[in-house]
Amino acid sequence: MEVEVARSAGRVSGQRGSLRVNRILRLDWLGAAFGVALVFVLLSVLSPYFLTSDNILTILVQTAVVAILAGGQTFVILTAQIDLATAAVAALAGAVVGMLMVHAGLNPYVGIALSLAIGGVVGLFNGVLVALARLPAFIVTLAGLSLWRGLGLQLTSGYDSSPMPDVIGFLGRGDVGPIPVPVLIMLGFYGAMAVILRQTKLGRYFYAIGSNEDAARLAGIRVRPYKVAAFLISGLSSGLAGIVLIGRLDSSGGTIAQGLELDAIAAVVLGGTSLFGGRGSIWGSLLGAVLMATIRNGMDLLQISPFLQLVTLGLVILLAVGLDVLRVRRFVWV
Amino acid sequence: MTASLLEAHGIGKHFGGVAAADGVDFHINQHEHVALVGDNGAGKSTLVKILTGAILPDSGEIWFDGQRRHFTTPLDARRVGIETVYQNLALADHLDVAANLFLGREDCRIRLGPFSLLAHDRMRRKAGELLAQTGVKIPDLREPLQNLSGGQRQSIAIARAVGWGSKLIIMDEPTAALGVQETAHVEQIIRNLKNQGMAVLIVSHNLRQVFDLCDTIWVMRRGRIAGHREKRSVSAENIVRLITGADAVA
Repeated sequence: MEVEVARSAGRVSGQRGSLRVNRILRLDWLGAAFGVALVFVLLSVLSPYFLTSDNILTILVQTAVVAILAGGQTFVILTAQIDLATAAVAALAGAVVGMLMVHAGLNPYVGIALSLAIGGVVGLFNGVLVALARLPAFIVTLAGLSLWRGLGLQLTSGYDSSPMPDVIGFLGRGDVGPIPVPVLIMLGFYGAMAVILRQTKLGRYFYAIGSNEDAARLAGIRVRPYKVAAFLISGLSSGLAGIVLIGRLDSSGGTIAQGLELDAIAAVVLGGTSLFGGRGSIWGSLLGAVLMATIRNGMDLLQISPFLQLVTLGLVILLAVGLDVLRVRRFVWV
Repeated sequence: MTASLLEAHGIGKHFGGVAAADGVDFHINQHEHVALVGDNGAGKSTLVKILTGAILPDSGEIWFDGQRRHFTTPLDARRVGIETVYQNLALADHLDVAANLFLGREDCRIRLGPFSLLAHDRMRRKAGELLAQTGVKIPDLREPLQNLSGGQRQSIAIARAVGWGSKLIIMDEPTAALGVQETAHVEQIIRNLKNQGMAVLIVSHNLRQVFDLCDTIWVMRRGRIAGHREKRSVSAENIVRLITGADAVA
């Protein structure tokens, strides 16, 4: 619908006013913002406990890990690929680093660096298999889903480690003034990603490659290193998410972050980024993650059964993907 | 005699047992608008691909701008000033007009490799100037290309080719996918290039267009040059005879 309106606005364009309206309607994250607003109004009416600062901060804390995974995923999806292994990589990094910190006395700052390094190396590995060896991203990262989580469990012999060092606990559960630290990490991460995506050549090329890979190549862009870079960024995000998660749980192990890869992909798609590549925005992914967490939180407050919650979230994802496909199809038919 | 811009001598290319180009001699002068015509399979595309570096010839020499050239990729050809407007429109549909005009040659405020900061405003301003200079009218430079018409998109592809100090623009069937009005618009843009002194090579099946836009018409037949004629001194009928080989038989 947005596209329809944007197009008819385009026809009568020429005046500044309609250009501005056109530009606003063209924003990819508009749908997600509308969704968040709608759910907020609805839940404020339905539950007296929803619109309180405590509850809003809880939602944001619950958003943080998925949002960080979704941020990295956005780069991969923008280049028309997919990374199914993000949560498994977060589990591998979190499990290994947590064990080393608890049982081997690893310095927590070194632990943070190691977690990012593990994520980065796995991201490079995925990127090289996809971009250089030309294996389908879906298959490489589907294998990774099992591979990296299995490796995390094997290296820790399936045992959880706790408690986490204070530094890590601070990152997952601490506060700066009234704001929880994981929320600050999330916002800082998104700020950095937004600069990369909107202001740098790197970001511009991710869009170009996702939009038309042949055009990018003919324009002299070396496509393969940029595809690898997208997976590298996703891997680094997983490493960061792993640290925040073990801090919040105050415990690490190979079973953490189960199923979050799908939440992250759903957040990206809800945020208006096209699974077909080339179109989308990083802030949309944040809104998508907030939307998912808000719907979960609201259903908890309304005491909806966890089974129905799963059904509802599934339907929401279906709706988002359906809208994406419709948008792309309309474009093809024009 | 005007100075020559591009010269190709004895170009040959075989695909298996088929000679797609066989001893082709071809040249384009400075500022000249040249048409390359011929039946399907006559070797036009092969010759164009050799001139733009998309394929390597088996034999022959290419001279461009006074020097012997060896193109191994389209980027080599572009670097010396040969720009190609592709038939399938090598544009990124989700990016806006300015981003497409600068794709692969972004203007940056600070250079930090891949982290170079884009100079959005400067690129948008230059994009506006470039389009104005080429005679392309686009109301909003932030419009993603997918919302524009085929003619506007083709015009942008041409403007992009013009913008980079290029000396020769090669267009393969520039209006094949366009309606009547849009074709007229794109032809006007090509005419503007003539006034700017830009050399153009057009591959086209449309003889009306060829006579309208070009100074010289080259005809290929079965991988060879069947002849080249000044537009002023030749009729469409003569060209058709060259294309079909009727002259050779007679």
